[in-house]
This record gives sequence, C-alpha cells and structure tokens, in this order.
Amino acid sequence: MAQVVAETPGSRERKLSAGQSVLDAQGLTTRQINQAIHRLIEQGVREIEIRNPVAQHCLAVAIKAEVRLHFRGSCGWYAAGMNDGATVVIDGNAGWGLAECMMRGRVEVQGNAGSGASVSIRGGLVFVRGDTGARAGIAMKGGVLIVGGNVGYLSGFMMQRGTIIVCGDAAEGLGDSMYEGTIYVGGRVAAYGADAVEKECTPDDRALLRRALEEFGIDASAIPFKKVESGRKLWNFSKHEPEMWRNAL
Amino acid sequence: MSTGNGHRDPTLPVLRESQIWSRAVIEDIQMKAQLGRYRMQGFSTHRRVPTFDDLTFVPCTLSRVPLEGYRERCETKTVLGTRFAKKPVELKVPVTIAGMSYGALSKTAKTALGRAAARLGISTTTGDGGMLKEEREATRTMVYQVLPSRYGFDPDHLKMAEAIEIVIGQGAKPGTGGVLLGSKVSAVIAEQRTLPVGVDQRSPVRHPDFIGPDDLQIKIEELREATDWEKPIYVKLGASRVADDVKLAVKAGADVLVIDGMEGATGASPDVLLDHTGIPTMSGLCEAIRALEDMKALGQVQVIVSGGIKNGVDAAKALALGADAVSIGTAALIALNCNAPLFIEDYHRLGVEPGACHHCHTGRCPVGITTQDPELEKRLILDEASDRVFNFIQSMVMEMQMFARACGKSDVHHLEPEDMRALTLEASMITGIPLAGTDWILTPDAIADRVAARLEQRQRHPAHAAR
Amino acid sequence: MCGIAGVFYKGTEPGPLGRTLVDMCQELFRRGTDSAGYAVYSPARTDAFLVRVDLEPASAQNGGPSAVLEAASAVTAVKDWQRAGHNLRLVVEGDAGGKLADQIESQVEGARVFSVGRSMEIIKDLGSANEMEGTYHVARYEGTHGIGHTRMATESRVDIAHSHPFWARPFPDIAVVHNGTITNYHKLRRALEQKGHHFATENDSEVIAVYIADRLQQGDSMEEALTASVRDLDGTFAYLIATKDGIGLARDQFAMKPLLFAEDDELVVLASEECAIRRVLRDPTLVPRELQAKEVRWWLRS
Repeated sequence: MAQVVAETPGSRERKLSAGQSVLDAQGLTTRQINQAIHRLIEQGVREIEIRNPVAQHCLAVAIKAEVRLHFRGSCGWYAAGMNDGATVVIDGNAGWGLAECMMRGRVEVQGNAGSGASVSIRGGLVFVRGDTGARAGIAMKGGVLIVGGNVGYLSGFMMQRGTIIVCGDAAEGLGDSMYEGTIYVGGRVAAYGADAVEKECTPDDRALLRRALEEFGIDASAIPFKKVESGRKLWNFSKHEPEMWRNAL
Repeated sequence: MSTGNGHRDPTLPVLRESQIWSRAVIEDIQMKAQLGRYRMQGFSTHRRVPTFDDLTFVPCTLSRVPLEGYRERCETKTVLGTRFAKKPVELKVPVTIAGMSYGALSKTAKTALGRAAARLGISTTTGDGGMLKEEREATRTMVYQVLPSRYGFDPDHLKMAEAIEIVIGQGAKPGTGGVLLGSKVSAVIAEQRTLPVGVDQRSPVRHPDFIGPDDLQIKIEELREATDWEKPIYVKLGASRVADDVKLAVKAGADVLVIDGMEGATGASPDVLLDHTGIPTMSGLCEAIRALEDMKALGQVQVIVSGGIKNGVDAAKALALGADAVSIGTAALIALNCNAPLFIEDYHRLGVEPGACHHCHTGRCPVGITTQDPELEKRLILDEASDRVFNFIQSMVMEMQMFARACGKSDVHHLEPEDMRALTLEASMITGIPLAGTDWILTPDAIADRVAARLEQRQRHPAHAAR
Repeated sequence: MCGIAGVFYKGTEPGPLGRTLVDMCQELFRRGTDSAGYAVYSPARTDAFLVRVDLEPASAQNGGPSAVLEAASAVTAVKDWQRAGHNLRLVVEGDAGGKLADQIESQVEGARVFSVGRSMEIIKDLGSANEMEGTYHVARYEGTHGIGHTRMATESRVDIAHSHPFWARPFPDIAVVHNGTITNYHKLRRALEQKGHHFATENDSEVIAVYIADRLQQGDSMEEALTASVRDLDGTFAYLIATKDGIGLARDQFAMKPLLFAEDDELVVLASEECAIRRVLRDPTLVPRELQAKEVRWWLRS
C-alpha cells in the first residue's frame, strides 16, 4: 500500500512499503538522483523504482549495497559504473560504459547499450537484451556479459578472464589480443581479431550456455554457438610470428 | 709509392668512425636483425634536451633584499585541487611521488616510498596495477590512478584515496600503453592484474570507456559521483600537444594537471619511443602555463610537473615557471638505491655498470627495487630505504627554500620567471625569459613590441639612427 | 570534441525544426561549451539565394551592414535583408557564379559569409544554444531538415569562424557538423586545394564538407561519397552532412565518437547522446539506435 512520505517539502521519493520506494526523476539532475538513491539506501530501502529518467549520465554509480534499482526508462553513460553488489535493471537503453569496472552485482538492460558495455568488470553479470556498440567487454577481468543481439567493433579486445555470450553477430576484431576468458558467438563474425581462435563447443559449453540464457527466456539450443579463445601466441614477444606481431604491437 | 691519399705509416691504425653509422647504430641494427622487433629498455631517454639546467637564478643583490638563508621563514605548504573538490589535497612541501606500479616496483620499494611520504607530509601515487595494501597503510596521502588497463581497479580503493589521477599518457612515451615483461609478472602480480603468470603484459593505450575529451568530461563526472565530489581529480598528460590537451582537460573539468615531460622514465618501453616522442619537461610546463593563461584558469587549476626532476633547484625553477608542485619518480628510486654501487657483479651480468644501468625491464634489479624476485628484493632494507628517500626529499626542500630566500621570497610559491635568466637561446625562446646579459624576451609579441618601439624612437630622433 | 544533432522530416510539410535543434543542442551543451551552431533548411527557392553574413563587432557598429549590401548589390539584386545582432540575412537573386561570398568579404572588412544557399542558412555564435536564442530566435524556424552542433574546441581557435557547421564553400546548400578530429587533415586539404578548392578556416572539420561537395560534384551519389569518406578520412569522426535534399552521415572505422538515431514514418532524429533525443522525442516506444563502426546512412528527398 502506497504511503506518501515527505522527507523534505516537495520530496520526490514515495515509500511503497517497508523497504520499497519510488523516485520520480523528472527534472532532477544526475547529482540529485544519485543523492536521493543513497539517502534511501541509508534509510534501509532495498528496492527503488526510478521513473522518468531521460538518459542522464552517471546514474547509480559505485553503489556498494545489495539493493535493487529499477530504471523505468533509459540511462545515459556509465550507468551502474563501478557497481559493487547492486542489481540494476534498465527498461530502456544505456549509453557508453554500462557497468564499467563492476566488482559484483547484476545489471540488465532491456534495450540497447552503447560502446564499452561491461568493460573491465571483475565479477557479476551484465545482460543486454538488444545490441551493444563497439568494444563490448574489453579488458574484462571476470564476470559474465550476455548480449541478446549483436556486438560492435573490437568486442572482447584484451579480455583477461570471464565469459562473453553473444547471441547475434559480432563485428570485426572480435577477441583481439585476448589473454584468457571465453567468448561464445551465435551469429556471424565479420572478422576475428589477432590471436582469437575459433573452437567447437563441448557438451559442458552447451550446458553452460543453456543455463546462462534460459533465465532470460533465450533458447540456447536454437543458436549455433561457436567458442572463441586466445591462441596464446601473443602472450610473449616472439620473432617467429611476425605477421601477428606487426598488427599487435 | 702511396696509392691513396698521401703517405702514412701503415703500422699505425686510424679509426674513422661515421657520425651516421656509429657503433651504436651498427649494434642497434644487428641486434634488431636478431630480435625481429623493436628493443625494450627501462629508464628514460638518453638524449640531451633543453632542461631547467639551461636557466639560472638572479637572486637579490643591491636592487632587492634577500632573506636570511638559515633563519627567516620560507613557506612550503601546497594545496592542490581547489577547483571543484570538497577536500583538496594539502601537502607540507611541493614535492610528490609519481605513479609507479607495484609490479614495476617491488613491494618493499613501494612501501618505503609510502613511509617516506608520510613522514614528509606529501603524497604517493599508485600505478598500472592498482593499489598495494601496504602502500595505503604506509602513506598519508594516496593518489589513485585510473589507467587505460584498469589492472587491479577497485572502487573501494578509489574511495580510500585522497585524490584520483586519470592517466591519459606518460611523458616517456605519450600515445602508447604500458608494458611489463613476463619476468616481472609473478604469481602475485598476475593475480592482482588478472593476467596469466609470465605473460608479456602490454597495456592498451586508450581507456576502455572514454575516447575523447568530450567523453572524459562525463567520465570525470562519474568519478566524482562515485566519491561524493570529495576528491580532487588530476589528469596526467604526457607532454606532447600540451596547449591543446591542457585546454581540453580544463574544459573536461580537471582540478589538477600533471604534465609529464619527455625526460620521464618508465619501467619498460620500446627505446625509440623514449627518444623520439614527447617534448621536454621545461617546454611542456611553459606551454601548459600559457594555455592556462589563455583560458583564464591559472590559479583555479593547479599544475604538477614531472619528468627528470633531479634536485631542489629543478623544483625551484619549475615553481618559478608556474608549477604548483613537482613529482619525482626516477630520483626517488635513485635515492632508494637505484644504480648504487652494490652487488656489482649482478650489474655486470646485465651487461652494465652501476651508474649506467637502465635494465628495470628485466626484473633482475641488483638492488631489489624493480624486481619481483624475493631474493633480490631482500637486498632493499625497508627502514633504511625509506630514510634515504626522506633525506633526499628533505634536501630538495632545503634547496628550494634556499633559492627562494636568496630571491627575497618568504614562500617558495612566490618564485617567478623574472627571478631567472636563460643560458641558451633555446631556453630563452621556450620560456620567454631573457638571455642572461640581455633584456630581450624572445616571443613574437615581445619582439614586435621592441621593434615597433625602436622604430618609433628612430623616427623621433633621426640623429641617433647612426648607431 | 563536440555534440552533434540532426532532424529530417519525411513528409512534404516543414516541421518545428528550430525548436527541436535548439533543444537538442542545449541538452548537448556539456559536450561543447565554446559555441553552438545550426544549418537549417527550408523548401528551396527557385528564384533566390539566402545569404548569412557575420560581422565583427567593430564592423557591425560602423557601417558594416550597409557596406555588405553595397558589395552584394554590385553583383546581384538584393531582394530583402534583416539584421540579428551582428549577423545579416540577405535574400538575393543570384550567387554571382559562386563568387558572391568572395565579393562580400573582399569589399567589407570584418565580414565573413557563413552560408549561401537556395535552402540553407547557417547560424552560429559563441555561447550555448539557449544563450544564442535571445539574438537569433532559431527556435521559431520551420524547416524540412537541419543539423546542429555544440563545440568544444580541440585544436583550432575558439571563435565564431571556427565554429560548426561549416559551409562547403562555394557549393550552395552543403554544410557539415563533425564530432572528432581528422588526423590526415593537412594532406586532404592540400590535395583538395590542388583541385582548386578553397578553405575559409584552419579547422579540420571543414575538410569533410569540401571533400563531400567535391565528390558530389564529380557525380558520386550521397551513398558513394559517404562510403568513400570512411576510407579516405583518418582519425575519429561521427559527422552529419546536409544538402538541400537531406542528410547523410558516416562513422569512423573504430567507432570512436558516439552517434545515435531514432526513426519512424514521420521523422528521423540524430544526436551524440540519447538524452538529447529523449528531450525532443516523447514516444518511449521509439528506441534510438547507435550507429556502428564504418556505418553510413542517408535520408534524401528525391
């Protein structure tokens, strides 16, 4: 049952029940939205619905709390950047740098994400139902990125650890200079990056894909996934692979 | 009978060496014929470039009053980050320790630097590997770097820092990413950086989530939001296209600029980059100050300069030219023991001598500084090493105060370009300071003004035209 | 580094072009605080050209406007003119075979011709979109399509002449707005100068306008010109080129600068950031999409 709780005159925060709140972001700046979110979390609210975001930047960054934030609209750049434990759901799109450097937690985008989605995350899960721009999951250090649609140029570049699952197509440069980690691609790959090697999926791979995708309503068995991993030829300088090194250095 | 160019004793050899195809060039080509790639080294460029040494101070004599060198007070307190941060950084003296990674340096080296910094009331900076717990515990003021690689990046560590430094590039090799060769990617380092053990780590040059200064502006906002707008944001630039970069960094919202000149060193780099990229520290500093003046941001945005700062007089000259503080990297390592004449047979094993070693990239540092080998690291004794760095920076501060007092200043920050003269034509043109013995300022506007004034004078007094 | 925006109305009727561009550019203000500018297009006149002339303050005070009219009248008939701040808008019969701009600038000190076109007008100045409105009232403009820009100067000067949009002088009705830096600018410029083209500024973005205009003049279609540009331009770019028929765009091969668009049956809206699109497009079901690396698109009225 909704209760109107006015902390300050003209407050935008409405308490739904113990632990839940609605925040109307209409006309609010990034700073005001983030401060309101932090205030609610300090008061013990565990679920916050944010209405009318209009793709402002830097929303819900560096939240170190196990709370659930639901944005009923689009976020701008660096949405849920440096996330450390929160679950952030975005109904619309996200801009560049979605969940960048996330440590733990879960970020879901129902629309599309811009470039640099899930870069350098060290743990947690990022799900984008639509497409991402270029450089998805580059320098990932752990965690899982799942993209229901396509990924853009140079995705998975210098990946270090973790898992990327792309249900659609991948543009050029996929997995360029990967150290470790695994990329699964369901659709066409325009061109692999340096030292990215295509392999067959094993039964374990297929089980992993099935489990990972079924919670998002995607049937993994209907998608012809390939696996991409590092050829490890670029791990150490070597004069015996000059073609490869000329592009890599 | 001689057949060539005159008669000479054939038993006396005369070596005629080419300036172009010198021994060094020959060795370089033949080495690359083996390697099939460029060569790597640590340290900085070996070239001679215009530096602060090409300037001299003109202290007080008759026309101005000096302060008593050993008695009268000379302030050194320095505040950085006044533009937007709630909690600017306060340093007791205008010297900081530059970003050098745990990985490039040993744990003992990083800890020793931290302890010295705490005693001095200054800051240390993390590096391309993330925060070392021992450094955070040791140091008083920690500057946390945000680098293109984001190795070891942790938002908690960001929040634990007193300031944040976004690294666009470094002076040693602007436009290229960091390198750590496999011998230094130990199990510990590999785990911190999430890399396979022993890999030749090459960092990307670009940040993963922003490309240009318009994006940087939003990235700076993100870092401020993540830390409640408390901490100053530094932007570190390798001195390259300094005027443009400074203007953009200011527009993007930087609180402090770190200008790192071409004399800056690194743990490992292709040697050709060290010698042929970037501009000298003195040049970069002057260009940065002029750019800030153009933007009317001088005083709002502070400037830290680094790259080959080797003593207190360099620091004093840098402050006189407009820097708010200097940052030292190599000098601090040398104070720790870098290139000290100890364990000399290990220098020889590397093919060098103490005093001419730049083999940081090998991980076989004979004095335990730029190594991850525990046996070598033991050679660096923490307390003594920390004392040495403390002593060295103390000496820098005393030198700075000495010059300031001699020039009649009660605060090292009151040193001005007008307190100096140039000893070379290049230094004069770079800094706008007159060549010693003349009063000529060699900038286009100043020259044009002088010529115009002289022509006007001649028109009024044609009799003097015969000079 | 900057923000760019564009609107194209698909129907035959002009739409609230000015209001839309001003709102988007204001939303993109932080991407570029130095200056703002627009190239707006209305249905092409068959019997006249529109000319936008900017006057330096000294010239604007001291007889600049009348000098401009006199210079223009020497080579064509001036049908109408208005003044907005230090800006003059002329309606003239002809463009003197492409020489009208040169004529005005050579005769009037402190005058810069921003645009000549049957359909296009370029309006740009220092400050933000909202700040400019007091003088120029761009928001009142009704038109068929247009592009806008907010500028953060990277290498060339912060002044009005170096602001976007750039007119592909002297080709009527062609203008560009660009986010990024063309790193082979000097080589491209010299090659185009060899072909007889001229440049009004030192700004690298101007070369894109001249490059495309040159290609279109050679007989390339918009698609061919845009595709060739992705190959020939080096550096970072997301740009919008506008002609009297519509708008084209290209994004560099590494997808370095952001650009999104949203399209339905009635219009197309483009901008560097989604927040600018959301400001003018209320329909939440219309989902903006980011352009991909090397992608080119165009919307033309045939």
